Amino acid sequence: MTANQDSFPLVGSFVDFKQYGQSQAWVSDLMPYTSKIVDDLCFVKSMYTEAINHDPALTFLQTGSQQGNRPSMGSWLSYGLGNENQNLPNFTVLLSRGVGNGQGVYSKLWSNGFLDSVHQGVQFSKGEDPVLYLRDPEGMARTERRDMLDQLAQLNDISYQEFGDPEIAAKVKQYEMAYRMQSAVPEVMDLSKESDDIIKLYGPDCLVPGTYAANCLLARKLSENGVRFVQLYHQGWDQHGNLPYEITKQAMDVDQASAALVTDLKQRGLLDETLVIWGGEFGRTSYTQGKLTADNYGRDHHPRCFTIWMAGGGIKPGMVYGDTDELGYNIANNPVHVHDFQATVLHQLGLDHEKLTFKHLGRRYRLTDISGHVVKDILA
Amino acid sequence: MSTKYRNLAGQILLVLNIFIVFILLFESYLVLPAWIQSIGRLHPLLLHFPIVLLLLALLLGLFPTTTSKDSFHPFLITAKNDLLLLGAITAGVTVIMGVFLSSEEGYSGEVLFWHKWSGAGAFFIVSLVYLFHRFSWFQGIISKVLMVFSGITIIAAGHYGSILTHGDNFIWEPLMAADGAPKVALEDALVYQDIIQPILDQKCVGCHNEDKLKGELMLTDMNAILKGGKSGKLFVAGNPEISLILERIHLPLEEKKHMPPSGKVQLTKEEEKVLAAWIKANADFKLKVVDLSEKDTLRMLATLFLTPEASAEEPLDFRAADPDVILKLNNDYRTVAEFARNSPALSVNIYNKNQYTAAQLSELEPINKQIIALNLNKLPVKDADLDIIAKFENLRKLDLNFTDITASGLSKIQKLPHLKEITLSGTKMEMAALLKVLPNFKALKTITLWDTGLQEKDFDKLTAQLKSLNIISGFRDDGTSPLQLNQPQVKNASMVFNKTMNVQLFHPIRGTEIRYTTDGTEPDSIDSPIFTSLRIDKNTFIKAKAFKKGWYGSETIAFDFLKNAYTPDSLRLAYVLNRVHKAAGANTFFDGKLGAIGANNPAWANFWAGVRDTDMELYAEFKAPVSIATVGVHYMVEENTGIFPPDVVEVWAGTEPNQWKLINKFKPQKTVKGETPSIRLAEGTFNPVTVKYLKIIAKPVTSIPEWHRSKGGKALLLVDEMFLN
Repeated sequence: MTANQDSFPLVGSFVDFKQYGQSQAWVSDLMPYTSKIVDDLCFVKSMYTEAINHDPALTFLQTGSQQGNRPSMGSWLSYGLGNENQNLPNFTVLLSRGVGNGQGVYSKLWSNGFLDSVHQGVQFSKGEDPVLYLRDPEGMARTERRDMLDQLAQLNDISYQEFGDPEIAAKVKQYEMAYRMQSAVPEVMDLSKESDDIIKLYGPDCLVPGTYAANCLLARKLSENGVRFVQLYHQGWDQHGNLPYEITKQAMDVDQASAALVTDLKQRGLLDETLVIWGGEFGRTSYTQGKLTADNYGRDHHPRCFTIWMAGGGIKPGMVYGDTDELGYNIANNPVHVHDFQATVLHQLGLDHEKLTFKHLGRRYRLTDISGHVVKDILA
Repeated sequence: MSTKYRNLAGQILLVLNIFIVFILLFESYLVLPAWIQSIGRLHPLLLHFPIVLLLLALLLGLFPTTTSKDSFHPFLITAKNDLLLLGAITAGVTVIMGVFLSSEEGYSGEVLFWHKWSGAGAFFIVSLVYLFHRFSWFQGIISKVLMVFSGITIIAAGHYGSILTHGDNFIWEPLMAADGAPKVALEDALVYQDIIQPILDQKCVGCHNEDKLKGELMLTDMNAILKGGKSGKLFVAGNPEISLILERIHLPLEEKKHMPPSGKVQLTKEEEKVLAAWIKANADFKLKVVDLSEKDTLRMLATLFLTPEASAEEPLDFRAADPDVILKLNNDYRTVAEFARNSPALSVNIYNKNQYTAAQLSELEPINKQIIALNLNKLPVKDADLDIIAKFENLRKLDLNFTDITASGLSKIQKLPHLKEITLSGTKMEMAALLKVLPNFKALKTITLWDTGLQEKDFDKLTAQLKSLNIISGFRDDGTSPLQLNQPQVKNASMVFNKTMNVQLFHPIRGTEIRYTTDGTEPDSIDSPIFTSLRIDKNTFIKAKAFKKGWYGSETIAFDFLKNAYTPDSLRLAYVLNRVHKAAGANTFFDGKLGAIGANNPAWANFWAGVRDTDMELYAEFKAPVSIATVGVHYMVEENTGIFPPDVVEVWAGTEPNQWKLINKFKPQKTVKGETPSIRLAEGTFNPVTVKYLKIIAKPVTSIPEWHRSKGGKALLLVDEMFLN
């Protein structure tokens, strides 16, 4: 339990929760937009993980193992499903941060691990060059670039014939994709043509690069353009203290845009084929950490139970799954381990988590390691 | 068969009879090695021989004997007897194997009893029929009656055997399911009557009914259930943990008291759960499903039993396409892939509007039967292209968002028999044409029409006229809940300038006005000037707000544009900076990078130089002398965390190294209790001095005042930039 304190006073939320929609799911007053779409969502209130600190827990959620160096979920999907759009990477990552203490989001979270490096997550950065070095250098025409790549491919081919290293072939593929991305990416990343309705839907911040809202809008555009896996990280969820102020801000950052993403996919007829997952790596304690005053307190990490929601992708909409006990400390019904969650996600994307394996250092690895069951109860 | 073999076989039959009598008598003492078990398991294989042979023999035996003059008759007699002999022998072997098999775990109970004794009985009777067939008294009616009787016994043995392997009612099940009474509607359903009792009927009542009363228990109706059985009441209402019925169900299968007994069909997980949930909900016999809240576990479980199985997807009655053809159709801008694992159906996605031509569709001709999903979003697809799509006869989903399709063009694909979903968001749809064409789509279930120019009243009309269609209108801003605009932003790379600067304010949302002031007052939407351009040549403190029709105005944002005319050529600090506030060392103060408030902001970690235990003593040197009249220090104040303004700032200057002269000393405004965190500029102004060497000393507060919780301690001083003008 939390160090440096002798008592663990339980404290209720400083804001109210109310029930909404057909499913009568409880939603905090801090998330007014989410509360409007509860009937499109499936809340899983009984997630649990094995790690208690940010880095191992994040790594566990993404790669199925607390230590790094395993492929991330997006890489496994890329490996299992292949590209949908040959002009864009299969797995992209978008980062943003709120006012809270930003905890370890490192590139190992979108690593291809031991899989072929074409399956690595591509981080899109904010600003004018979302993918660095994608522009043609000054004075170089697209045709010249084509010639250069053709010559380079020939040289690489000679080298491949000689050594047979698959990384050489991977590299050639990546050069070619980068070439095609030169025309596809600017089109995808251009937010200037989004309609006023879209801006109102996602909120005004969606046009400010690097915000969570902008990343949600980009996530929709990337997904619409055939990127298989788009991962958003919004940092700053670590309220050991000063929780009321920070959590209000953090919630404001994500509420409208997350709900907008679901609505937007739905109105384009894409929600049934897109799985939206919203959640973190663990929960927070129901008791306070640090000093408890009338209007301020903190909460420590809590891996034993936490809530996520999913929408679309063949998950039952308008559902609340799992329960915690009266203290919000342990799970009372239908526990969902991180590996169960991963197995379910893979299942919904048409992959069997027990069959999607890769042999490395003498044994076969899976995203779900040696456990995990598909949570059939939440499948539509 | 020669007589010799016939006699041998007859003797074998006799031996078998004796052996079988023996093992049946001493069955409970049998201990079998593993290899015998394997032989036992061949029972279900071998049993088909005696059934066929014996039934055939019995059939022959029933032929009328009057045709005895027939030359064929002796052959029939011989055949009958030989078949009877062979059948009896195989029946004997089958019985032995069956006894071996039944000694394995999992076989017990009434059905087995009847199977065993009808099987063995059949064997004994046909053995008798064979042994007596030579005697003349046995011919005629006695033999026929016995034969019919043994036939019935064989069929009975077979029937009980089938119950053991396939379960009760195996043969009639499909018939009964087919005419299965329609399930009761959710609104009327009672938990007990429509869910619990049917489970009991299916899994328990076979042994617990008025005829059988196993364990003195009957599970046929409410009164019987409440009464319980030999071991007591079945449940404690509200307390599934100590309820007998659940205890029995949850016992390990091999326990004798486990129910239903091993060998019988067990309760499914869902059935166990719903039974437990019902008991937990006080085992109310009159409870209606809809009386429970939607989130109630019992209700959710009960609904599972009441909702009819979702009607299976339409079968895909076409062959898979040639994989080579599929491979060839894939290119950089077109993906053809299996719709699902091992499905003959294909989904096709086409990307990149600059590369699109109708040929990309017509090339799909070889797989036009297999395509069930086609995504053409954001491509310049024309109505004419729909003629090609009309040939994709198994198409289920067609994505046409943001294409050039019109409503009247849709008539070209209205005949597609399986088309269930069309997405048309972002196209221009004409109401009249849409109303005309949509009813012609027979299979259509869902259509998305967001951003098609249709108005609220159009959607009302569509919904009214096309009741079975799920029409997705999407999000339209109706202006009733305006949002607040976000704040204006600045495009300039640095807020610090050298001589003059063109201020570049902008707002990310089109058509937004930025109004601003430079005199420290709050900008408003009427009197404050609209920002177009602004050229500044001195420190300028802009306050700006964004406004747009249909939005609430933004909050005010302050931009401090600060002038620094002289950047020293070299810099060094007398003392090392605080461990966590090193920033860029001595170069921090003239790098044009301003810090920010908030410990989680990268600008906080990277741009503030801090001291607490020493003075911030900066030495600057210019290659050529400059004339300075102002020194500015830019610092942060956060009273709560003990970040205070400098106590005092001293400016020392000289034209030679180490010949210092104090030219100015100024005290920035002190902070007070409860003050909001801020970033401030303190300046010392003096008569112009020519300097080559400059020393600026900013001294942190060495004793925090009484009113602060860290009173008497040393305050932290954070400075990000200094300005020389």
